[in-house]
Amino acid sequence: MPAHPERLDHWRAALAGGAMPPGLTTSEARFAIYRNNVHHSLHEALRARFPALERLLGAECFRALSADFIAAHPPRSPVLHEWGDAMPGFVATLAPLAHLPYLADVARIELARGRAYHAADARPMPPEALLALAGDMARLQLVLVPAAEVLRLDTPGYQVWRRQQPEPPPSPVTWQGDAVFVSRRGVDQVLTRALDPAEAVFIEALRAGETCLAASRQAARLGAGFDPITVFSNLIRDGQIVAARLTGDTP
Amino acid sequence: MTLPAQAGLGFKPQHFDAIRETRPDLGFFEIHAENYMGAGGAPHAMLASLRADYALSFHGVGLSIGGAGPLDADHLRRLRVLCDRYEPDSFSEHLAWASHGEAYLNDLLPLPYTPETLDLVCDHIDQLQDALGRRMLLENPATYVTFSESTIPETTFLAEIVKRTGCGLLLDVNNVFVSCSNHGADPRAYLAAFPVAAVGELHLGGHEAEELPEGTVLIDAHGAPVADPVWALYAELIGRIGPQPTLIEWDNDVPDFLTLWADAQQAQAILDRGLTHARAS
Repeated sequence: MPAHPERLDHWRAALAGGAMPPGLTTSEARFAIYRNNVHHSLHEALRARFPALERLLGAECFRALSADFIAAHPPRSPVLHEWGDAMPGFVATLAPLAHLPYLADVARIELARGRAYHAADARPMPPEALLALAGDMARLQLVLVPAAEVLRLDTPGYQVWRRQQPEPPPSPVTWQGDAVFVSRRGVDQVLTRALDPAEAVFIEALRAGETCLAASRQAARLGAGFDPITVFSNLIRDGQIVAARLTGDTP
Repeated sequence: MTLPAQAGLGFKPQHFDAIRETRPDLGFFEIHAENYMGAGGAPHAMLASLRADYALSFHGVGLSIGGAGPLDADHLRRLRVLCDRYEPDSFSEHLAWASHGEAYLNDLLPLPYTPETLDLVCDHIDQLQDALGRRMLLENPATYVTFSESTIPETTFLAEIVKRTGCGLLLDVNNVFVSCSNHGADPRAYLAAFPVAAVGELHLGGHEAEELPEGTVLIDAHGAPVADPVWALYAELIGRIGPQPTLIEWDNDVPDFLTLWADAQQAQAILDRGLTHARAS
């Protein structure tokens, strides 16, 4: 009689496609129910996390990809909405998909959207409190909601992702490295917006703790047309600013 | 800290608006704990809203109580944080394993019933109850295979766990029907041997039939209405042991809220009759 750890070693290998584990009085077909359940439930978890990737690849191709991903990167925790971080790197290594280099970036966007959906809550700062400090841009530092992320992509991954959503824009995809703002407004509205290069620099600088003035100067180096007031207003409108302080003041 | 002896439903986020609008008269809602382990956002906003109006049952699916290794300390901590945050009226998990060698397999996998696995399961339940600072309910599994090594009947195995750990039991009547059908056993004999005094909740769910070369096998798929023979077993059980908190489980191909609520009302009608019986006797 095998000890329990050894028995589960056999089961795990068998569930991954190996021979039926020893010690069962029932048929291989009965055991296969478990193999199917494990595979099906994990495949469904990946479908839920990467819906645009599935639409781009088609159901059959995504099924093959998910089988290989499950074998190579099985979840380590029962919290499945945290599983799948290895997908962009995994997709990028698949030779048959090398002609679609944006797929990894689409997966990155979908992972970021999942993180934003589950990110910690934070109450936006009342706009009037913020505007009271806004006169001193040289000293004003902003704290954004925990969900806020800037993604720097090597491909037009955002444009491709956007064309898998309702009401896709009719314009053709422009080949460039997209920058994307992913965050959450309130408790349930996940935001996914393209950023121009100057906006991306501005938001990244704010997140790094730069003052609004310093962040604007960094952004303005990328183009004379950068307008920090518009970006600032958008952040307020979307409830993205949770705290503000003037450098030099005690927090 | 117990659930009311009424019908309850598994909570699905797509039903949240219907629940807010209709405020159905239900004993409790049950959630899968693993779906609420993010930091914030919609899942917690909905759960906090339900908490204000209903009793809550937290049902874990990932702790791997029947596993060979130590329990996942990170997962125990997540469960503790969740229970501390919402103070659910019940916490339950499964007599099954789901993790091995750092891989999480996302299914409720069976184990043989032996003195060795009994010790392991009891140690894990002691550890869980200590970590949560509360008594848990352990659910009987639906199984498709049997082990030549098993030396202890499932009902005896569960009774011994209750005796050693002080935990309660979640009796899934559909699982009883599925397992007994799959293994040629009599579900009434199983229920007669079940340690019903420890029961703190009942589950009812739908199963589906799959044709194998050797004959029909029943799968605990949670994607269909409760089957008539399961309703019959349930009604007999309630007549015998009195009303119990009863969950209607429907996790796949989930219908609209009113369809689920109709099933909950069917269970509630049986519970109401059980109450009449209990008062008369």
